[in-house]
Parts: sequence; C-alpha cells; structure tokens
Amino acid sequence: MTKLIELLVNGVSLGMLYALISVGFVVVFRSTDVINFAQGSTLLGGGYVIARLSPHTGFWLAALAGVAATAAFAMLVDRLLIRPLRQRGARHDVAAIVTIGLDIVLLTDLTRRIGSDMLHLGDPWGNAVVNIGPVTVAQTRVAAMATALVLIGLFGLAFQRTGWGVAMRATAEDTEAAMLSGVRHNRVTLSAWAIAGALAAVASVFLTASPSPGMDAATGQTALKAFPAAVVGGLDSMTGALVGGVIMGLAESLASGYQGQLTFLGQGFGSVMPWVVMLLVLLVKPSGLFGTKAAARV
Amino acid sequence: MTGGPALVVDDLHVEYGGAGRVLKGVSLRVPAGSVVALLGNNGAGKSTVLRAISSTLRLHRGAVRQGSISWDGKPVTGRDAADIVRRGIVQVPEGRHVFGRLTVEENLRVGGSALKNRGERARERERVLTLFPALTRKLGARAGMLSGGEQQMLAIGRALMARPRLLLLDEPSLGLAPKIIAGIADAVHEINRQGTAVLLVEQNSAMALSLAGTAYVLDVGRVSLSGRVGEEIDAARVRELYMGVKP
Repeated sequence: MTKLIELLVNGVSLGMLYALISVGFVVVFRSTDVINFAQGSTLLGGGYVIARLSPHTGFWLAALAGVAATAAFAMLVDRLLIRPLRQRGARHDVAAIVTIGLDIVLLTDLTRRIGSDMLHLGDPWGNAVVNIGPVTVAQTRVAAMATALVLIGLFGLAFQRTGWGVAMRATAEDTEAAMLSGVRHNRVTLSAWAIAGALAAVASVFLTASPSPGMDAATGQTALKAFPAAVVGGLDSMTGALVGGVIMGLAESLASGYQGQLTFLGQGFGSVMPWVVMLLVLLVKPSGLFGTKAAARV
Repeated sequence: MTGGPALVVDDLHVEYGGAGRVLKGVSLRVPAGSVVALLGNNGAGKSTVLRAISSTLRLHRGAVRQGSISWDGKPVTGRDAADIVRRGIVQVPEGRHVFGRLTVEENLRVGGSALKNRGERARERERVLTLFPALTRKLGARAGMLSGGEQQMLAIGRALMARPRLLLLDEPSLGLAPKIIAGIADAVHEINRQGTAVLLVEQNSAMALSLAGTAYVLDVGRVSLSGRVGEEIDAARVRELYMGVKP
C-alpha cells in the first residue's frame, strides 16, 4: 500500500512536469499550427545553461538566466525559422520538419558539449525527503508539483482572463479573422514560443534533480515523453495537456514500480509506457481526450 | 466633398500560387464617407480585392503582382494586416468568421485589439451594443451558438470595435433571410451615417445598390462596368448584363 501511494505521488509529480512541457507544445501548436519537435533539445539547452552557470552564480540566478535564455532562444527560432516559412505560405508540416532538423542540430551540439558528463543543475533540494507517515517522497518531487501547479494555474488564468489570452484563443481558432480584427499575429506567436521555451527550462531543473542522477545527453529524450502527453490531451487543449501529462506520469511510474510483477513485458517497460498509452487512447479517440480539431470540422 | 481619407486601388493584379491571375488590372476608388458597391458573380475576384486591401492574400498563397493600393494618400500594399486595421481599414470577412468558441463579449474584445486603452474600448463597445441591441442579451454566450443573423451582427460589431474609417463588408447578406438582410442593410446605413465609408461586396445586387452611391461590377478579374448608382448603373442593367437575368 505504501509503495502504491509513493508510486502515485511520484507519478503525479512526474506527470506535472510532462504537463509543463506539453503546455509548451500546445501553446505553440495553437498559435502557429506547428508541432515543435525541438522542444526536447530546447529543454536540454536550458538545463545546460543552468548547469554551467550555477557553480558561479548560485542556483537561483542560474535558473533565472537559464529560463530567460531558453525563452529568448525559442523566440529566435520563431523569428528566424518559422516566421519566414509562414510568410511565404509554407505548409505547417514543413515547419514541423524544420523543427526536427533543428532538434538534431541542437542535440548533436549539446551532446558534444556534455560528452559523457553527468551535469548537476545545483538545485537546493538535494536528496532530502518528505515523510508523511510511512510514505517517503523526495522533496524535489513535491517542489516540482508545486511549481508546475502554480505555473499552469497562472498560465490558465492569463489564458482565460487577459487580453493576451483572448487574442491567443482567437488566433488558435481562426488566424485570419484574428488578424483582420487587429491582433498582431507575429507577437502572439513570439509569446507562445517564449512560454514554451521558459516552461521547458523550468522542467529541466526538476527532471534532472534527485532522485534522477543528473542531466546527461539523454535528458532530451525524457522530455520527448511529454509529446504523447500532449497528443493524448488533444494537442490544442490546455486541460488536455495537464490531464495527458498526469496520465503519462502515472503510467510510467506504475509500470516502472511494478516491473517485478510485469517481467513478461521485459526490462524498462516503464519508459515505453507513455507511447503505449498514447496509441491506445488514439485508437479510441483519434482527436485526443480534449481535442477540438476533429469536432470542429464536423 | 469631405476631406477625409480615400482608398485608391490602382491597376491591381493578383495571383494565387502561380495559378494564373485572378485580378487583371482592377482600379477603384472609395471616397471618404461614401458607400461603394463591388458586384459580380461568384469567382469574379471580389473577395480577392478585399484580401489585397486587408493584406491577407499571403494566407491564401496569393500575392499582388502589379499595381498599388493607397489609403489617405499613402501606399499600403503588402503592409502587415494588423497595421492596416490600425490605419482604419477593417474587414468583415465572407462567412462572418466569428470566434465560435469565444463568448460574444470576448469576440468584441478581440475586435478592440487595435485600440489603445480600456476607455476607448468601453466607448466603442457601447456604440456597437446601441447599434445591435440584440447582442446585449447574448454577451456571455458562445458566438458559435448564435443564429446566422446574430453572427453577422457580431462580425460587424467586432469590426466596428477597431473604430474603422473604412469598413470592408464581404457578402453580409449571404445565407440570411430577407427580413434579417433588411436589418443588416439598416445597420450599414447607420454606420455610414456616423461617418464610416463602406466598401460593400455583394452578389445580392439589390441590397448593395439600395445602399451605395457608386458601384463597380467585376467580371473575371476586370472592372466591366462602373458609375453612379441610378445613372450609369441600376439594378436592371446589372442583372441583365452580369447576373444572366433578362429584365
């Protein structure tokens, strides 16, 4: 029982991190119709900046700089790669493929820089744990949950209430009508990319903190597990990103935790689990749990 | 006449993705405070003229190949669409294109994107709701749930939120009952009376000619007839020549 509760808490915590990253997928997809496959390497880049800075500046300053740098980088991607394609009328899938290329270039460079090192971002939680009765949870997991909840909550509020959020939703629904209403499309997309970048950098801190051993070149692939989370949620729904993220976190955590009883699936099935769940959900609901694209076409 | 801004379209040529010219030298003029009708059959290029003016051709893989558009004496060809709105030219697209998942209130808010402050937005919102009182009761409803006539009111209201000096209306009567069309025509008349020029694109020539002082008839990418309504152009002549109906 204790084990189950621990696995559930860890799963939800991991899921909230996936949710953070998949909100980044969703916000970019909604405003530009582009799936940003460079999200994983962007996350790795954010983590790398934080890891390199934190021995000199301390963690908090490094984290702030890393988040800002990653947001700025994502805005550059939109400005220099995606916007020119858009303005020449390229198809959205062309832009998506460009992000795959970008991902490969970034990943190659970061792999070269990181080498076989295990980088530590210098977070203040270390390997401290929280004990609630017999249940033991790493402090970083609690911090991850709290941070993700606050960020997603703030983001959701801004999305519903502010002029920026209304412009973003209008753009997502009908880009041309939004432009004809005076919405500055280029600003909307820049803000979307900036948010996606910033959230990826935040996620990098928690994905690599204890009990994870640290950040290596494979961390970007961990981040890619947020992609099935976004797809399961429907790719264009914020609620979907959150729910999808938590489902993926739980699936992965439970499959890893009960691996002993699931030996017929082979070793390391936990990390495949999100993709299996994605396939199962898509077979039943092709537009994802909260997706609207398919519904809107009927 | 009045000394306000005028829209001048001069020898406009437009192409979509290299698939031949849709417009082959269209020239027209919308003086300040006037109502000008742009008539023609389906596929004549009417919406393309509006897209060129609003600078949204790019979204349809189209481009201006030749000619120019000027507003208030300044060239505006190919400027950012949001910039055109800020200069005072606002389009109500064909098929209304309200944001169906947003509430009526939010639709109006998006329409006010070009305005600088809350006070201005509140003033324009008041004006829109005075013009279309039917929207007042629906402010909290999702726009997708409105009737066709209400959606057309909302689409026009959303455009008015940007305080246009020239309103481009693309087929506002499309798919609406005659009684609703009459209501829309009254609203357009009132908008013009308050000082906004209107360029009205219509297949429904009767409605357009009842409002417009000047009309242009577009036929496969060229202006084939233009003049003052009631003099060079009247409903019978338009129908006979370009709508394929004998009087």
